[in-house]
Amino acid sequence: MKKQSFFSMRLNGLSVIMMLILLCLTVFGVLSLVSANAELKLSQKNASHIASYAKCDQDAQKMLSEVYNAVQKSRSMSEIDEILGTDFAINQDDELVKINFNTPKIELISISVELTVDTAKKLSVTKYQINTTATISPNQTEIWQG
Amino acid sequence: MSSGSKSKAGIFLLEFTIVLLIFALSSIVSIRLFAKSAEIQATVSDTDQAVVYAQSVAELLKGCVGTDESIRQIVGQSNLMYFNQNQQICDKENAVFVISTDYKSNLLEFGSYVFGTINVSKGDALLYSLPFGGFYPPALEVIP
Repeated sequence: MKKQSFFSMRLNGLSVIMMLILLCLTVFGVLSLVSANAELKLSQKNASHIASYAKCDQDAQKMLSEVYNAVQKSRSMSEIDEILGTDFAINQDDELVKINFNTPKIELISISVELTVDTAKKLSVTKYQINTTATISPNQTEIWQG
Repeated sequence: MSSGSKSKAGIFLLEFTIVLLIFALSSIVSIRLFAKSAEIQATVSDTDQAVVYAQSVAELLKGCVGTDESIRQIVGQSNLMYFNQNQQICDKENAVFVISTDYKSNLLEFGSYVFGTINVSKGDALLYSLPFGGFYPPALEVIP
């Protein structure tokens, strides 16, 4: 008769079920934690991006108020240029004056604004564009074509 | 015969106890993992909700005419807005989210510039803070 060792491993049905339950618990627990962490990072990134945009928008609105007031106060283009300073680009195009400015960059985001001033000193916002410096090259990104 | 049977029962009991111990320990770890992920999910949900609230208030402020009256119509007389879990405006007692708006109005020669911060909090914890600014001219034409 074959002699059985003292610490022989016996895998009965109960042990197998327990191991399976343990394995499932651990795997799903880790998966849920990883997924929750990824969602948290995405949420924080989104919140940070929105806050950066809002700060840029705040700056743009402030600069817009400066331009508006400068245009209303001044009598000539040179006077507007003198009041606004170097942060603003002013160009004369026929009877229209075009004023461009960019807000300071905040977390890779800035806003470029273009304004048109007519002879009646009426301002029109012709461009209010968000710029991001993070660029994605189409050659680098593989997009599934379907 | 009897001594061998007793020995086998003892080994089985020992083995079973060890298995139970390992199971209990691993279960504790796994349950803690689930609890932690549930906590993180709740934080994510609150942050997302706070961002939506702050953005909504900011957009409303940009759409108003910029006078103190029109701003107070949006942010409330005490600059505080209370929302319940169902995202509806409620009284202070039933509030889950509190939106407080700090703003300053600069009266310019032409128009006014209003700027400030929208803070969304839950309980005592500040969830999100969003800056806003708006220029309110006498008339400004926007070409789409």
